[in-house]
Amino acid sequence: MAETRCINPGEIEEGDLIAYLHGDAAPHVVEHVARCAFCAEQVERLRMVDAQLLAVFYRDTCPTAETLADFALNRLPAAGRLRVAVHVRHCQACSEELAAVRGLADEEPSSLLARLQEALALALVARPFAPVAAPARGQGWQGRFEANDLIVTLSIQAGRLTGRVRRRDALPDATYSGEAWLLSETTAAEKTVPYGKIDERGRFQLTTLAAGSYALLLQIGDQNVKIEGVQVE
Amino acid sequence: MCEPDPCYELFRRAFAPCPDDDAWQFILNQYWGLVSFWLGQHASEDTIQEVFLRLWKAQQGATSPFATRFPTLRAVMGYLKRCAIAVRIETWREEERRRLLWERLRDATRLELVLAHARPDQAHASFDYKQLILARLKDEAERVVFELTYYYDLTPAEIQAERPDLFPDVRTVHRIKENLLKRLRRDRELCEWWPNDR
Repeated sequence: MAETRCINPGEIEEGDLIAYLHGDAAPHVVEHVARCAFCAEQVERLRMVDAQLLAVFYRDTCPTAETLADFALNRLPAAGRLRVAVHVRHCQACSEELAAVRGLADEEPSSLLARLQEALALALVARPFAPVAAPARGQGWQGRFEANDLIVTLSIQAGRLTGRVRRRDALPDATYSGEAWLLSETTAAEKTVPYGKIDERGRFQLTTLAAGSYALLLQIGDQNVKIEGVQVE
Repeated sequence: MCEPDPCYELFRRAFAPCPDDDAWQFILNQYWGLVSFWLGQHASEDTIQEVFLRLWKAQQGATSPFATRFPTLRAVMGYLKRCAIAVRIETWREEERRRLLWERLRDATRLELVLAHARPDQAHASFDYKQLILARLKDEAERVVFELTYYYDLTPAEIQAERPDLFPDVRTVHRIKENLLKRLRRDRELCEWWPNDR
């Protein structure tokens, strides 16, 4: 049962229990709370009220996450924009949040990886002509895919991917140009993205590939095509 | 104006008056990776689902047709990105709030009781409750201590450093805060809102 009185009210003053809660109390206050069950109980009650107020009011005056997202994407009307700008200037937490999403919020993605991820998401999926079997250990892998009028053949062996694109019914001297990118399907934080130029005969090559599962993005003219589930041993 | 993009067509079908479930499933498959990338370290099954759910709800609650609201693929993707950024910020805020509470309560003797009660989705987070609390602040010094403590999570020492004009020393902040919390704790109208530790 809780004590009903302090053992020695003269030992502490108003403010000492909050100082104790924040670890700012003088040694005699710490000693008093250790001895006095009543004051220890008061500290716990203050702690509960303090924590509950923090849970309810913390950042209550900050713009909502959606308003901040609209601000980052420049989607707010002028008045709202000004209000958020003034707040962000004085609020470290909001300004850190904005800084963290600023790269994403750019109209055009700022990083190469972000641009490639967006291109990949919007690319046409190339389908295999026939189900592609997983490569046997130590053996190469080959596949043939199509997307609209584009045909892609791929071959992977010893960490090297070679491929060729051509258009169905194209003349033998048809020329191509573009780029091939290999994006990991298992991690979104790649440091380098394997890349190769597609030459005018539609050939490309990506070398020194690490083992893993990838999506191959082919940018041919203004057409983006992807091949998912490319396995490198 | 005609929008020839096949990806846009997927969205148009998914949000048609008779929604095409296959189109929606295809959208999830197509954009799951992109949304995951936008969410960065906060990407998880739940947060990615939440982003798509917001896009879905936004159109379900809209009075104008999908094509009027989102006339191009760029417009839909802009909105999807807006949802992802909002979810990312919210997840971050929730993690931060939890971390702060944990720091405040690590020495508490009745930790579970407080944590169960100190949740923003409880009834005591309502507007009325907040107004009751704010109405109890009796002067400028109390208001400043309250705002800097709970809106911005400043310690008494930081509050004193921020407003030396109001608080000549940190003891003054301790005294004002203790007095305020004890008063709030005893308040008859508020007593039902505090954790019941009796």
